[in-house]
Amino acid sequence: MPSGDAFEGPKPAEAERLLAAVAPRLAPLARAFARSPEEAEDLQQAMSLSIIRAHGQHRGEGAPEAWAGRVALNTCRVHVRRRRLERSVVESLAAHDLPVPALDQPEPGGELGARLEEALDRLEPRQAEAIRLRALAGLPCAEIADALEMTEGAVQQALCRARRHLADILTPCLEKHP
Amino acid sequence: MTCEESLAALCAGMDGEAGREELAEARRHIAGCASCRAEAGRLGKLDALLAAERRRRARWLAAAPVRAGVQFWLGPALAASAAALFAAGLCLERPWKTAPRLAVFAGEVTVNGRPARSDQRLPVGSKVTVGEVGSATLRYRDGTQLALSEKSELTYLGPGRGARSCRLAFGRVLAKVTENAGGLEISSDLGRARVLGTVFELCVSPILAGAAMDTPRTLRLAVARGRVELLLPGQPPARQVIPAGLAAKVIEGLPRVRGCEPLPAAEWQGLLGLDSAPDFADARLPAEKVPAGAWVPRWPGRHGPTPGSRTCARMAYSAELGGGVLLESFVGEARRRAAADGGTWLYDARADRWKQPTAAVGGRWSVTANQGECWDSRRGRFLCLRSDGPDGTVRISSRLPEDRGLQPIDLRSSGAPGARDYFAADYSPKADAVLLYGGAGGNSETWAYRCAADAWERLSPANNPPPRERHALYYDPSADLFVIYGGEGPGGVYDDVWVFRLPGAP
Repeated sequence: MPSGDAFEGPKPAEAERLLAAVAPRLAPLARAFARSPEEAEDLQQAMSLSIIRAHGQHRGEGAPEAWAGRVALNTCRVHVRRRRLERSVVESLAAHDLPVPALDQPEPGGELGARLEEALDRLEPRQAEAIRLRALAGLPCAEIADALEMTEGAVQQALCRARRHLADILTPCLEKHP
Repeated sequence: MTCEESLAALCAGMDGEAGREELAEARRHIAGCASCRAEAGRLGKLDALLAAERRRRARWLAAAPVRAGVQFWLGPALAASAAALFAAGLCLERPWKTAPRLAVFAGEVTVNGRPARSDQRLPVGSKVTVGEVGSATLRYRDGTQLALSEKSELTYLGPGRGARSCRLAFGRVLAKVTENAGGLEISSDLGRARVLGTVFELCVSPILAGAAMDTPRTLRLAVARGRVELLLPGQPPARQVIPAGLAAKVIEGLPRVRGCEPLPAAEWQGLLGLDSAPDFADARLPAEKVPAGAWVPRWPGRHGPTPGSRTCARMAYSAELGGGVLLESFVGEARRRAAADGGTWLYDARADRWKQPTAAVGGRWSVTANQGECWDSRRGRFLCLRSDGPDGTVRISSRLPEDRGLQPIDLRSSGAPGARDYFAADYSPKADAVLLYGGAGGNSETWAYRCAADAWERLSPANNPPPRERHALYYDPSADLFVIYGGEGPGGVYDDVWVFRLPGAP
């Protein structure tokens, strides 16, 4: 049961300033982790909310912008995990011939993107995150290394493995689209 | 350079991280190695595919930059409650996560102090203010609407994790929540309304900021359909569930619900957008006192849980169980089939109560499906209703049970109802007549087919249920009442129950 003080809360101007500072970085992240424009909008809002909610937990270690970036990335990870959970629940419902709720459908013309998302779901999480951040969000390797708390060399290795694994999974697709 | 090193260098080159010499050496190796050449070709195609996907996604969010002015008020307790909602509800559909749009507005309407724009999307933290004159409607993608009256201020707080949240500073909001897995929360400093699939109005006074200091502020919650949970601040916080047809009031400084009264008929009519005003007091009439020739609303929600809003519903009377059994139905406008509904819900028309019998449901049904058949127990025949007569008029024909598979014989009925789909009908042996109600296209006509006279008659009841299609209609012989439940119409998917006693032949 929620307590009564949930109805009022602070209005931290600092949080708003921080959000304004990191806002330009949220859209590329949302595009990289979402499957549709609507989902990207949702994810962008979820990241904003997460940063504002967690603002009080920042203990001054490191730049606030970097901390906010990690919060945003964590929100994206939760989003991807939830999406995967949804799909597994839907698959198990369908396997038992139970009513299946409608999940978000890929937008028209996004069939290739949907294939790519399926393939990304089959990668190691670190590899998938690295390739999303590099190829879909367009972040340089140095920033990816900061975000994933890896060395640049490890990021490059993960990217190379991710590409080769993706190429394996998407072979029929790549052959069809020269 | 080995094959692995060459391909690693090629990948690094794609990221702009490889040196010129390293890349040149890798290319030399690849040119002379067939397997590396094939792999490099695939990686090149993949790179092109990823670049195309990135270009496609670059269009996303182009028109919706993140606003910096997000207002923070959601406390940890609310976040926890939203998370609990998500966990408890297995919320696979998340329509509440999409921001609403300011779909319709008129008069003095501002968003964050600036004049509102048509079809404006409202990011988190948007404050919609309606001045002395005007109104505004916020519309979610799934059809949920929040209609703000004049002198109101509402802030969209975001999707949360299990519900969409808004804050009503003052004024009046009429919410029409589409039946789905997502919830809605509208809070004020006097209380918070949490709902799922319903129509309700929340009003927080004073209408204008700066009213007289000695006037206690009030919150009024009027529920027209569904159930709304009202949470009041305090230690411990108070919680009360308000069923349909009641209005609750909260007065500032008294953190408990003060009075819970039936909605006046006119207000109920206004909230549901009905053409005529049903007398809500009728809803408490005993079944035996329901007058003939008038549709009367029932109020089973006051006795306990109900199946909620359902469409494509089929019901049939069971003498063994003593009520109408909900054989099949679908939830929400998405028409998701309700799980395991066969025999789960039973409506007792005499007690005006929904029950959930545990006994196995069997026996012979007088099936009342869309344009289906009903059982003429006096003559031992099925009556088949189809909208396939001349110009689509409803054609009634009869078929004996042993003639299954043979073409039914048309009855010589005159003055048949006009073309319609998705109506519902059933037979009453007492009146020796078939009652037909509704149909696609906002139909709210009531027709009776008098079997003895082989003639149709259009009735003009004193009250009419909201126009609907895909509803259930069955005859309850124990109460001598026709019962309508659910269906869908201009007001969305319905959860209401109406009864009708067919008058004798003129």
